[in-house]
Amino acid sequence: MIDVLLIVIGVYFAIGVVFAVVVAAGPIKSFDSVVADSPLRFRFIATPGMAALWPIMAGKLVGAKNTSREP
Amino acid sequence: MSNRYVLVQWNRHKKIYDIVTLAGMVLFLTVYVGAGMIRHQSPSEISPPILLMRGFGVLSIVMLHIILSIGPLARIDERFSPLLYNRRHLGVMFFFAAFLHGFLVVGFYGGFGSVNPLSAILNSSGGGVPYELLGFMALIIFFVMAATSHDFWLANLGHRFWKAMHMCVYAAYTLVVLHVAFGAMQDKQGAVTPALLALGVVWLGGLHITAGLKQRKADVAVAEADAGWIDVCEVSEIPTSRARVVRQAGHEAIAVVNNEGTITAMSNVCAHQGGPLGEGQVIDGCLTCPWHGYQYDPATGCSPPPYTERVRTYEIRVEGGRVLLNPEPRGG
Repeated sequence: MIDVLLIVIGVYFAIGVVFAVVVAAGPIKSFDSVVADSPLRFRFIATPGMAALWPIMAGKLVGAKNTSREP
Repeated sequence: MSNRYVLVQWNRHKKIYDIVTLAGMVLFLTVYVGAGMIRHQSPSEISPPILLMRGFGVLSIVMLHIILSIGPLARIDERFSPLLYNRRHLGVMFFFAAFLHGFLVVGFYGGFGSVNPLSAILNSSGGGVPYELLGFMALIIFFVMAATSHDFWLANLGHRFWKAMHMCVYAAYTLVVLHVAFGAMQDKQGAVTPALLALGVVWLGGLHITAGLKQRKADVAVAEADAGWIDVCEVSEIPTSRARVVRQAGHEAIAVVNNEGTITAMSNVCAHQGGPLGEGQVIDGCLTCPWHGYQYDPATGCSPPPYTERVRTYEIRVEGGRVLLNPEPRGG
């Protein structure tokens, strides 16, 4: 049971780390314009949180893309 | 205040706060490990790595109690208010102490076997209460809280969600208490650890209840004057450069501010992290949040330029020396 839990947590965070690195590299600006004026090293501090809360941030990213497509 | 994100908004107070915290942590560990080595002369009793591991564990619990005490202490006695400022850094440093405790436990007890060390530790309770798992779950919650302590998260998750998420510290605290209590029982460490832990729980519970009762007493018991206006208090009851908080069912808490004799009213909820503006004071003409120093013009509710934070303001009338408040915000 505990091993299953560890696998689930491991997979969740593995996806999160990949997501966080990719989003911090660029797309982060699409849902928070303040990031564009912020130093690059700030993104380093946002990465662990994005790895932890990646489903929420993925939702924001999708929402931001849909909004930008609207005429 | 922010119109761009930075890694850390350093200032003198924060630097002193962090240096004192770090020095305190190092001193605590040095004394704990040093005393342990003197007490357990033979390495076969308790080796230095185990002492260090336990030291980080005890340090984490002490820090957690300090962190959870700061809020109610500041409400009970405003001399503790400076400790509120930069509490986030204290929280992040606490997380690293707790992480190092867990890291050392996993590395020392599970690092020399053929199975996954974390799995080995979490499966090691042998039929008893899996206290290691409780600690692990608490650590995950603390990680999420530490990782989302930056203003970026407040802005992107929204104040309510962020606040609710960070209130999970009490759930994590419960897990930590169970982790330590069951761990001490299963390791047959005697009554000292459970007794100290119980003392900590009673201390925190007592502080929170005392602070709640004091706040309830300090908040203005509202009485409707006319046409929905609230009779707050005498003007003289609001000290200069301070505020009184008005709470009424169905309305947000409102801070009634005395700025050099001019009475105004604004939301009691700071736009930054929801700090209690009414517990702050007027500095440089602005009501200053006691938590992180965000400032608002008492007349307009706006932060001074270039900052863009804003809170709701309310109409005030002074009649016969009494302060009357319209609990409906200006502009609806």
